[in-house]
Amino acid sequence: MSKKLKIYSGLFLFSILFVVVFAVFTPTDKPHYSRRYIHDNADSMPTVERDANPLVTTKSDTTYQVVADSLGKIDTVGVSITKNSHPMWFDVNLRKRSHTNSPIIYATNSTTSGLMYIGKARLLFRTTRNVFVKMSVLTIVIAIVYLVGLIWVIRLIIRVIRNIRKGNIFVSQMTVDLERLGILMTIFFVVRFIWQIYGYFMTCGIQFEDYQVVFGPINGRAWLIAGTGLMLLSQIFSMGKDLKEDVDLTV
Amino acid sequence: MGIIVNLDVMMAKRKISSQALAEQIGITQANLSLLKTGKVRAVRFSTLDAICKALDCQPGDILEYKDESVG
Repeated sequence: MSKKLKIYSGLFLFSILFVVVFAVFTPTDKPHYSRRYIHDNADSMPTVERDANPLVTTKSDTTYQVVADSLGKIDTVGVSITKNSHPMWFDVNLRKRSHTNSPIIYATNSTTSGLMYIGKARLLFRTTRNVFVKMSVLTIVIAIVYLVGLIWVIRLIIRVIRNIRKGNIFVSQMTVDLERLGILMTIFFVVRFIWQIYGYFMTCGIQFEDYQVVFGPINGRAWLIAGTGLMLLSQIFSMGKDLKEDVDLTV
Repeated sequence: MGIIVNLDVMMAKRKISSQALAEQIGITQANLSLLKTGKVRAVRFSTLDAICKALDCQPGDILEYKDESVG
């Protein structure tokens, strides 16, 4: 068994375990913020109700607008949120609970409607314009690199399918292409996972009273399984190529 | 590989061309060329049998072993 085959088969097994373990220990539908407010009147204090499976979710984005110490309140439908002026804003999206008639808190990031009052939100990271600009630039750079990688992946997939259609299956080109495809897909997953962890810590930087941040399901699990699977497959094709050569070079 | 193929020596002794030998053995000239240059991975007994019959020789006349680790 070649060294690469051992390493790739180990990676593939590890990726399966990784996905299974995280699927078991990470809630799949839980939101980032695990408790919700129920509020009947905009003027009264919010009632905190502990909810085991709240449907209110937040969406953390890498280009943030940061909310100041408190959000404004909306009295009637159609009135936009009043925000305190601040150099940096964070939009928190809370979705409406659809299956209940209870008054709920919801808001969007623009002209919105709904009854909303959220208590104090504390910012745990710096909110200067510099930080925002740096984060935006980093996001754009990563997006460009990701796009280039994606185009490369598509080219490789087209080349692999073209070779299969020509009947060139157990050839060196196929082995190399599959290996590169697998490595790229695995890198995609790693980048997304790191970005998700970064997003989690960024979300932790915004704290709402009586809310806690919950790490959601891992994004891009399919990339990990597909990537490590393709890396393993490339080594199997390499073995096939050797066997074919033996047959071809037998007189 | 330590196996050396001396087919061209035998062919010169028997004064037979590659094309004629390939036809007698039943393999292509390309494969015969690969065999002569020692690039093949394996030889079937049936092919070896046909070569020895065509060249009227023993397998040892065509194949030689040299230990590559020595010297």
